[in-house]
Amino acid sequence: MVQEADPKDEHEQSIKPDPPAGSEIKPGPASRVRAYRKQSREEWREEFPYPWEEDEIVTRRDTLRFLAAGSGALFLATGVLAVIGNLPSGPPVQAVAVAKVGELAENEWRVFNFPDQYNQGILINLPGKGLVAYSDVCTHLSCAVLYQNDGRLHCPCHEGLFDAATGNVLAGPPTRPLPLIQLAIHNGTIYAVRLVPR
Amino acid sequence: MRERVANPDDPPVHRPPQGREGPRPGPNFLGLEGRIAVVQGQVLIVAVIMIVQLWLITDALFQLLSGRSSNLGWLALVSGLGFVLALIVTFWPSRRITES
Repeated sequence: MVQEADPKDEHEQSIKPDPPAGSEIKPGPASRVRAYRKQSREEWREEFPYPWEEDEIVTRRDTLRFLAAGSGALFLATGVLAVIGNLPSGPPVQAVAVAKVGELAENEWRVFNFPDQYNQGILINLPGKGLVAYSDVCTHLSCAVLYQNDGRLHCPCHEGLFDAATGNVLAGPPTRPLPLIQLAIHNGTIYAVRLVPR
Repeated sequence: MRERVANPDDPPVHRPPQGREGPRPGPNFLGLEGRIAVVQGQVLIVAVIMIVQLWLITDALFQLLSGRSSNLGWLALVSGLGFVLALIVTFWPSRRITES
């Protein structure tokens, strides 16, 4: 809070003895301006009185203590976020069968529900690399990405492009790669077993 | 050979008084101006630490909402170090002034 000069002092300084009665001194332009300013200043103070006696001055040391307490609060909040982030998640994800071995030809792809019915992954048979799977939720604004036959995943909402071989961003507004879905093959069936956020 | 001086028009600068552990504060550091300078320096340093902590908690929230938790512990650790540093900056100079 800014400490302002006490208006009482200013007021006392501005008071000057009146000229004796009978003496006719015409006020000049400068004195008229001063009188006008003084009058307008006093009106301002009457309209917006300031309770100086009730004001609490915040010292530098108060500010310092407030900042130190804020630093501690920020540390606690960051620690709470770290604890929440490392809490054990819900029940372990069950493997989901997504395709049969040899079912997808090269450059063919399929969308499947994983890890639950509200989320989807995309399984692609890439030429020269084989089967890869990613979450099909764009890391920009959560639109569904689609596979283009040129080895790239395309987000139609804002023209984001991802490398189908790695899931990394190639172009567009996304900044993070697509989450990877780990696959496992058992008895000729391909399973999605785990989602790896990146 | 005449000694070269960087700014010959400046008034001569006296070396600070030397103590057992190195240079000591100037002669008026216990006066009003000295104490104001020390506290303002403390406020500035702690404010910078707090700004860094704000950035850390913003990044922690971003990572948490992105489903990534591998760096959250490190972010909390750095924030804790900042808090310890802020406590040291807040309380250490006052102790030194009181002792001296």
